[in-house]
Amino acid sequence: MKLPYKNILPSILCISLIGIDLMWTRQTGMMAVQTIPDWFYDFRLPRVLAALFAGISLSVAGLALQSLFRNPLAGPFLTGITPGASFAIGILLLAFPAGISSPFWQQVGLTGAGMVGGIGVLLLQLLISRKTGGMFTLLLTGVLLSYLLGAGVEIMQNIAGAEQVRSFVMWGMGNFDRVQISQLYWFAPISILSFFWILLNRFKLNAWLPGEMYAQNAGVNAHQLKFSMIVVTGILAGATTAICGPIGFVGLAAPHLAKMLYRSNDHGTILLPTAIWGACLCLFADIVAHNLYTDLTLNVNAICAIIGAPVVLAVVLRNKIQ
Amino acid sequence: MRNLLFILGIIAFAILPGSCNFKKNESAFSEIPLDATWIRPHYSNLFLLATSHRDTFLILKDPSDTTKVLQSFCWGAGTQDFKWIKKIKSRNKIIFTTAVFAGMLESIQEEWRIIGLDKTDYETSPRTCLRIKEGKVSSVAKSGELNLEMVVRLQPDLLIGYYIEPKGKQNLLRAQTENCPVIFLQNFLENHPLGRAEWIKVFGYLTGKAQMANNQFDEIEEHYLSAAARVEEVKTMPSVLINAPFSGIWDIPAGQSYMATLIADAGGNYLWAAKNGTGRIPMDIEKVYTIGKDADIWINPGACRNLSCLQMLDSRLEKFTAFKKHQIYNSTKTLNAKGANAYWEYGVIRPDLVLLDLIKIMHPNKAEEHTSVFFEPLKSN
Repeated sequence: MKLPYKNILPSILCISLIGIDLMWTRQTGMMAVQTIPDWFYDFRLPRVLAALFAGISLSVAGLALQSLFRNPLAGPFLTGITPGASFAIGILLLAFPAGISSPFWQQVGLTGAGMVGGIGVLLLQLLISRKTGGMFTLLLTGVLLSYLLGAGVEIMQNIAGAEQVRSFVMWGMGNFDRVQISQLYWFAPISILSFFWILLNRFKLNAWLPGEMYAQNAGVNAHQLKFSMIVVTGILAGATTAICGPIGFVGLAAPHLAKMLYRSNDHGTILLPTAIWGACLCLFADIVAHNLYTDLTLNVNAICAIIGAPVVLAVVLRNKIQ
Repeated sequence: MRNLLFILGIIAFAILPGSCNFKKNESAFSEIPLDATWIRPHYSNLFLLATSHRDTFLILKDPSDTTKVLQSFCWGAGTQDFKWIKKIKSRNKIIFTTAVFAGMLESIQEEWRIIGLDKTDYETSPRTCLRIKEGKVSSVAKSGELNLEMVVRLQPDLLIGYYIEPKGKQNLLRAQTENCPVIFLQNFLENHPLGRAEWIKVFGYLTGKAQMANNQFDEIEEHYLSAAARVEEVKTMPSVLINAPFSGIWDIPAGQSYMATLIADAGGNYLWAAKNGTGRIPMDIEKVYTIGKDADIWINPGACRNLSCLQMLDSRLEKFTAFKKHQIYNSTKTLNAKGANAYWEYGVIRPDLVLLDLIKIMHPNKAEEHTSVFFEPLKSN
């Protein structure tokens, strides 16, 4: 039986963080609802919604990947989705800058590249795992591909012109300020639909956790589950990376926060809290990034790492002690 | 107890280099002969020159704390060895990691000393370009990374560059040898455009063309001040927005930066004039919009030459008043097909021309005769 406060508290925290991020500014404090300024709908609202949906997408993708790989350290970064998305976007920004010379192609091209890169890496892993088998090999392949793609991006940066390198470096500093409301029209539905898709498949994921044989005995089509999870997590992490830049640690830390609180691996129990904690992490990082200094805006990716790394460390130590 | 001693040892190691630096700073000044004549720049805060009967001394100040010395060098016929001042043995073969200084050498007709440049493609000074074509100047870096192998092969006497972050400084220092000191010229952190141009004097003394460099600078200073005097009494000062966002983040020059000074001298009201510092402040687009949405004029919006490019960067930029009124100007008039722009080279040496361009934009009636050299309005499409 779930204790209600475990659901209520993170929800209240998340709503409070949304409220603070939406309405608070370091210089002026909380703004009154009656006097919402003209920039609110164009700048603040998209930023906060982007943080919310990025948090949901990355954390849910992280949970699905941890279950799929049966590894507590699996996440969009470690499995190569984010590096894959970065690589594909790097090709677009560094090698074909002329190819994204219109706002339409910039949005569609970057997002498409992010998704294709993310899914591509996971599919490649799936192909390799078919030959070798085993989730450990799959994870190791992800790590190796991450290094390989990272090296590819570095080489491209060496070859590309200064302006292209600058735009790629700036893209690589993940933040939510760049997100425009038009991008949320498709990003939010992707995030919500993927969440419900994973929720619908929670029993299959539960059956998958003890092992592939167990899942097959329970009537789960293992190949279909693996393939569909790869596509969904690739879309979630790839799309987030494309529009917000690389945001680390959320996909790794949020599922562990939920698992620690509920002491459960049941996807029906921890999926919603995972999404809420993911959103909380991103919203909190966004608030810190914008309000720690009056003028200076910090890198959200760095803030997420500062918050997320201790969580992951705590999990590793806890597992070690147990 | 042993652990405590270990930690104290680490702390001592961390603190020691700092204290050594402090001693070094004091000693660099104490080693300069008492009879040396000091040449104090009028606008630059970051260098000092001194000449004795045999040697010339260059003191480079730390931009983050101008009471400290970043580096100190001397050259000349003197045989005295110094503990804290590095002796420059020869000055005939120079490598630059920025085109700005190549332009300064060319303006005093000493470009023959240049044997290597950061990116030869981005060079705009005509005589240096010719030397590049003739194969006399090699490219020594790619995407900001120094090609050490090429530097060693060229055997330079001096490597002159700049750094933005400590990593860049360490990267350049890797090329330092006994016969090739690395000199950091942080002139982009000057708070006055004439301060940036005044570094021509350093090159004048370095190459034995001090008189020529001084004369050139005096002429530029006179032009600059007379241009600034044209707008001293203007009553309306247009508000000015600068730069453009990249991925939601907008680099805003601080209130004591050379750009802020240029705008003020051109009779403009720089919206971030009160912000302390000489560098740049990375701000989010929302913060910039709340302050700059009604700015009358917008200058240097990144690499954009037309309004649709700005829309592509971020479609929300069209909400700025300057965008709606087509009052956006960029220093891209001198941009060539390769992407090199004389604004970043010739514009540093000739701040008087940059100032006149800005006056023409902000107060057209005060510079009617002037034809813009660097700035052009953004085209509609």
